Amino acid sequence: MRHPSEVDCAAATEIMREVAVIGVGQTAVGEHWGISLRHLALEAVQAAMADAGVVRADALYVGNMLSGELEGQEHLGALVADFAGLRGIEAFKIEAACGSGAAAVRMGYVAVAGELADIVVVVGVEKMTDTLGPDTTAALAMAADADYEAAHGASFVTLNALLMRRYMHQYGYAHQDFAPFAVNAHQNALNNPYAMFRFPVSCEKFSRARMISEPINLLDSSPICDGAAAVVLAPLCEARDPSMTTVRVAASAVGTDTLAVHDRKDPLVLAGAELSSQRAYEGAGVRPADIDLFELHDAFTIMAALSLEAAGFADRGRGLALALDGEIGINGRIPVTTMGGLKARGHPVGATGVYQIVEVVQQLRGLAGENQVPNARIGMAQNIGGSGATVITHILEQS
Amino acid sequence: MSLLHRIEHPDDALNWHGDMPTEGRYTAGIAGERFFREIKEKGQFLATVCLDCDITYMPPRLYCEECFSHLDEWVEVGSWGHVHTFTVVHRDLDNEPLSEPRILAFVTLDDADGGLVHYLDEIEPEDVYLGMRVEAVFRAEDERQGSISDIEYFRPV
Repeated sequence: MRHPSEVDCAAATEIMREVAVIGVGQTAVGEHWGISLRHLALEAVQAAMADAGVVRADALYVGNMLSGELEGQEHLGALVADFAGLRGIEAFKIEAACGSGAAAVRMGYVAVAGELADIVVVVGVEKMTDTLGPDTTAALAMAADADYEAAHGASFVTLNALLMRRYMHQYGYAHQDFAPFAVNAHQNALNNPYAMFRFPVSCEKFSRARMISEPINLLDSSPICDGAAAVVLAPLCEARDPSMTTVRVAASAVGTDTLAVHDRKDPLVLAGAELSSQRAYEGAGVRPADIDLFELHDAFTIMAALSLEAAGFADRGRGLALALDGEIGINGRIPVTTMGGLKARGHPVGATGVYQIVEVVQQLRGLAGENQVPNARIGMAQNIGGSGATVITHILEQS
Repeated sequence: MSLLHRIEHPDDALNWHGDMPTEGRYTAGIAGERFFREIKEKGQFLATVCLDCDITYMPPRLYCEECFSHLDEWVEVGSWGHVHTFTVVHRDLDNEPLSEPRILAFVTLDDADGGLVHYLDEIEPEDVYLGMRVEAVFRAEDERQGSISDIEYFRPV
């Protein structure tokens, strides 16, 4: 049997079109009890289409994880298309747990690159606060292995706590060493009007926060919240707005790993993230050193550390050291969570991956305000589903 | 009343009120089903083995992830191992304090390449350490349902 990777795909890539992000839009992240799911999506879609200067699209992809379970509403493709004035176009919901948003961007990229559509709108939307806490947490746990992990009550907090304790043990860190990730995220969220938590967090406050599942405390964790973000994709050749820096999608890549944490040879290695990152670097023809900022998936502080390692910014066990050395700030070697990240901008799960892309575009356009990364030319966003089972990486570049 | 006679109102028909019992069957797949059945009936773990790659899959899989070959070599594996990592849960799903913190551990098994995430009990949280030897405690035979919860918890050996 011929292995898939041995198949010569060179001929196929030659006919792929270059893709650009020509518009972005987002709603504030928070507790939107007064706004429906469809309205949230509509606001983000309208903002992105206005930014792009388009009034029509060929396709709409909706990134969402929990609408069926929490809102009793599936079939979001047609629903959002209908309410956004796009009735009639191709429209689907894309689901990959917390990676749903970037998965939808990926599908939009595929459609434009493959010449199946010229203008694609991608929106990530999630409403998590209409239900009670236990229902929301139980619904999120559906992204874990239902037979072996979720059946007896393991949640994503506990699964990440297991990884965090092992990391601290194996590499000799204390809990307070994780503080820089939360401090940095909250600091950056101060200047992001769309962020949920616009207040600073000190190392002392981090260490004293309420314990949830040892060693994970409240300030290690991203919040349950609502939000929607959208992007408009188009062929690069048609995306020349002279008033705006053009942002090209240099790479779009996906990697997967075992769904269950217990099936991994080394749970501290995010193999799916390694694959996804590697494929993205190859696709864009860049190395980690070329990346000017990294919107990583800091659902918990331990995930931020593991992501930095999997993406090649630090050796194994050194992701935390990078943060402790002050290298993850706006002026650091590799700025992360530049607009607040999952921790402080918020983590409306199926929308998160699109927020990340929106924020990278803001940086590359030079419109990130106080949080502008100096001379940002290449940015990377990485969205993770489950405990690292689906990892979608996008590299964006000024064109 | 013939079948052709049209019923105008529900009361025109003879009716009973009550619950109709129904049963559903859930299966965890061919390998998963055999694994859970073994736990339910015998209180022990089964694994599949790939002799070529020298991997013992627990929980069992039907195909080797390295060489893709079909696995039909089934072996019993011991229900003991050690704590690879653990967490002490202080809050319930509603963020309310638990009356007693619960310990959840990732246990790697001695006789297999896999492991399980499950509760740890019969020990105080402060006494748990990484590398600690533990064994599975199964529920009483008549309480087992054929799921991962048939293991009540792991405990120190």
